[in-house]
Parts: sequence; C-alpha cells; structure tokens
Amino acid sequence: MPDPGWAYRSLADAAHAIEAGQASPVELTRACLDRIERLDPAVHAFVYLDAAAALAAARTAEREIRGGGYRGPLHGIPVALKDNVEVEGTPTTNGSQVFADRTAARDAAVWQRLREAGVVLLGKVHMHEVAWGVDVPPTRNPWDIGRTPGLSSSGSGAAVAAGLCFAALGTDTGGSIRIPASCCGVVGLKPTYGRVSRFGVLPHSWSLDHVGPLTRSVEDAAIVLQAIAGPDPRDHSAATVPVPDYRAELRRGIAGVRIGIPREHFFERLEPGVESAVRQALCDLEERGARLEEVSIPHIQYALAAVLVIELASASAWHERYLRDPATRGRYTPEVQVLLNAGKFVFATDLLKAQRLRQILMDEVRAALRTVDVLATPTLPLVAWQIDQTTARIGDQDEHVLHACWRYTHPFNLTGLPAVSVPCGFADGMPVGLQLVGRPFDEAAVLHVAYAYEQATPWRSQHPPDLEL
Amino acid sequence: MKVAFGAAADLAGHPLSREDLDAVRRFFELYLAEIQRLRELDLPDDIEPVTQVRMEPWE
Repeated sequence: MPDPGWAYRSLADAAHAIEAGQASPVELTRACLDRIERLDPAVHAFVYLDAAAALAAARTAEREIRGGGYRGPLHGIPVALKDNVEVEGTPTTNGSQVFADRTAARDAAVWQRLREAGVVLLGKVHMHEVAWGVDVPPTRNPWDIGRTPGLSSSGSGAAVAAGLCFAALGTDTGGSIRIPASCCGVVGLKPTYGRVSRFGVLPHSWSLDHVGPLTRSVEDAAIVLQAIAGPDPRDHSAATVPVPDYRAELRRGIAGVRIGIPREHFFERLEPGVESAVRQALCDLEERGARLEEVSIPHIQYALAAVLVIELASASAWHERYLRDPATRGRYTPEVQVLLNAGKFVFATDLLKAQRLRQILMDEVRAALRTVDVLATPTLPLVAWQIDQTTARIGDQDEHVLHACWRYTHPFNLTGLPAVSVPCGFADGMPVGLQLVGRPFDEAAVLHVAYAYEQATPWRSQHPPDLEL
Repeated sequence: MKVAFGAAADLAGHPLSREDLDAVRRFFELYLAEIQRLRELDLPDDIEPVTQVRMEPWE
C-alpha cells in the first residue's frame, strides 16, 4: 500500500490530492484493491470485484486528469455499489439466489451519473437478501467482526468503515442506509424521496425506497449527493427541484439553528449508552449555538404498523412473478419466503389505513418542522449486535433486534424527508449514530448541521481496530 | 387461529402449505397488536390515503 494513511482518509482529501497531483487514481485504486485482498476475507463486504476493470478505469481517469480533463472531486475515486444497483454487463444479484444468474442489461441512473463524474468502480457490495432477509455470507462489522454491520446496505457500511473504498451507494426503505452507517461509525444519507433517481435500482417497496451515499465524512456525502441528485424522466418520482451546491452550504456554522427534539417515541426505549451519547451530542450542538426545542409528532406511535403494511404488500407485489415461477420460488431463503407470503395477506383496508396515517404523519412532521430547521434523534436504539443475536434487552423488555433497529429510521421513509446519520460517540465499544432530519429537498440543512457537529467532535478521527488477519 | 387463517388463505386465493401457513401466522403474531392498534385508530373523515408519493418543497 503506497500510503497506509489512505485507508481512512476522506474522499474530499483524496480528491484534493488527485487534483493537486499528489496522488493518482491508479495509486488509490491499488491501495483499495490491496486492502480488499487482505481484509475482505474477514469483512465479507464485496460480492463482486473486478480488479482489472477498476485499474483500467483508474488509468483512464489518470490519463484524462493529466491531460487537463479533471472532471471534479469524484474523478478517479474508487467506490462500490450495493448489489441492487444495475451496471450493464455485471451481476446484480439483489443479495438473493433468485437473481444469482442475472446480468444487468442497463445502467442505473445513479451509476451513469457517478461514471460521468469519473469514479472508479471497484465492484458490488453485499446486501441482505432482496434488501430484507438474511445476509450470506454475513458481512462483518469492522469495529468487531463478531457483530453485524447493520442492514440492509451491510456491505456498503462495512466497506466504507474498513477503508476498502472511499464511498459506497446504499438503498434505504426503512433505514437501510442509516442503520449500517450508525452501526459502522460512518455517515449515511437518505435524501428526500424524489431527490435521487431510482431508475435501474431493483425495487423493494416503491413508495419507501431511496438511494444515497455512505461515506467517511459529511463533506464526502455532500460530494456524492451532488453527483447523483437531480431529475430523471425515467423515474416518475424523481423531482425537478433545483440541486444546490451542497459543499458551499456546509461551512455556515450553526449559531441560531433551531433543532427540534421529538417529545414522543425517539427517546422512549433505547440502550442507556446510546441515549447518553445522543444527549451529549445535543448538548454539544447547543454549546455551539444551536437552539434545542421540543416538538411533537403525536401519531408517530402508529408508524411501525403503517410502514410494515406498506412494505409487506409492496415487496410481495414486486416479487410475485418470481414467486409464481417454480424455478425461482425455491431460491428464496425460508426467512424471505415467510415475509413474501405474509405480504399476500395484507388487507386492502389496512393498506389504505396505513396510507391515510401516512398523510397524518406528513402533516405532523410539517408542523414540527415549521418552527425548527432540523429534527434530531438517535439513529438506532441499540448498537450493532452480535451476528447470531436475535434479541436484545432494551429498557425492561427483550426485543427482536430486527424489530428494534429500524424504530427511529422508518418514520422518515414514510414521510420522505431527508435524513442523515452521523457518528456521535460509542457505547459498549461500538459506534452510535445521531440522526438529523430536514424539510423536503433541504439536504443542505441536515448536511450543514451534521458537518458542524462532525467538525466539533473527535469521532471522525476514530477508526476500527487493526483488522489485519 | 390456525383454522381461521388457513380458511382465509384459501378464500383469498393464496393457498399455502400447512408449514408455510404456520410460518406466516407466527410472523403476524409478532405484529398483529401493532396492526390492530392502527385498525382501531379513528382518523378524520377528510384524510385521504396517499396513493402516490410526489415530494415538493414546502413554501
């Protein structure tokens, strides 16, 4: 590895070094490939790696940059994609044996945009089966390889945290970008629904699915979002709202920024170490000039039922053709088959009630965000759990970890609001995430507050223990 | 519950094996209380279901 320091350096640092001629895309790509070769047998982040193609892309980028054709901060940067993002001619397995033989025939919009920005694609990273079920082989958390990196963008979180790439894309239907970001101590951004095209990304639940970046810094998330955001006529949900300069908005400082703390739900049942880290983060923000205000989202207690009903019905509807076909039906794991079967028994009346509740929640978060600039909550009520652990004791209750882990994230899939998870400390030796939520298309606000917090605290400089085998 | 759910599955045109029915029933047992609370929630008559999510900036 030419410079061992590259492993945990930010994308922004690497971009600056490339632009200044102090590092080359080939050097950075080789550093990532070397690290993948040494560490991925333990981390299991990558499901598909094409070293030759990556090096070829890096050489092309290097040639372009030396020839004066520098495209911007992603030019020559090695990245990874979650395995539900289509790249023409490469496998896109959706984390499932059902799609094991599938080669994508088109490029996802997000990949097209990253490619045009000049990134170097290292490969695809693991995800939980169809963004829902088991993770085979289980991707490991670089902070403790006995623990999960979170779901379902497990490989994305683990690869970024382990320094195997400079950024990865994930998808988020109920928290699947923010949960692995929190578990792995990295930044995960779920943009506003409609900010980033989902064209070419395999659906899980149409009205809840989002695509976004996982990175080692808030500025890195802003750089990736800048490239992938914007309208796309091929995705009917993609909005035509102008895309601001996210990096330009980062350094405004947070004096006078109003941060809403929801009265209900988000601090009611969580591990003490997580609560302590998040409350300290809120104090840190207040000390830097932010104003904390209590807000109310009264119907939040019904959000779990609503998101569950919508997700079950939607996923079963999309997978129906594969469930009908005897050749593919048996390739789902039993865990996912149960969920897909369950989705067939969601009553239309329940689905409509869930969608009416969704309107109520949208109205309530709008009212809450009328008086504050962002909301702040824990990202998860617990830290990354052991790979074979199914329940956790939270408060005075034993709870299934999969039930608990998305408790604070799924409300913002239902409401479509932008939400970022930024590292805010540790509990039980594992990272804790602070979730910041903003108004529609105001990713700049959540990134701005997250950046101010990140710059004022030491968490960004902490990295997983030595993973050398 | 088992008999009722099996009958409901047949009625809905989604017949499942006994084993699959039991697995689905166990899954719903985990969440039925949540779903039941949502069913019992009274909402104002004029709240329509969201049938298509199209986000727009707030004024």
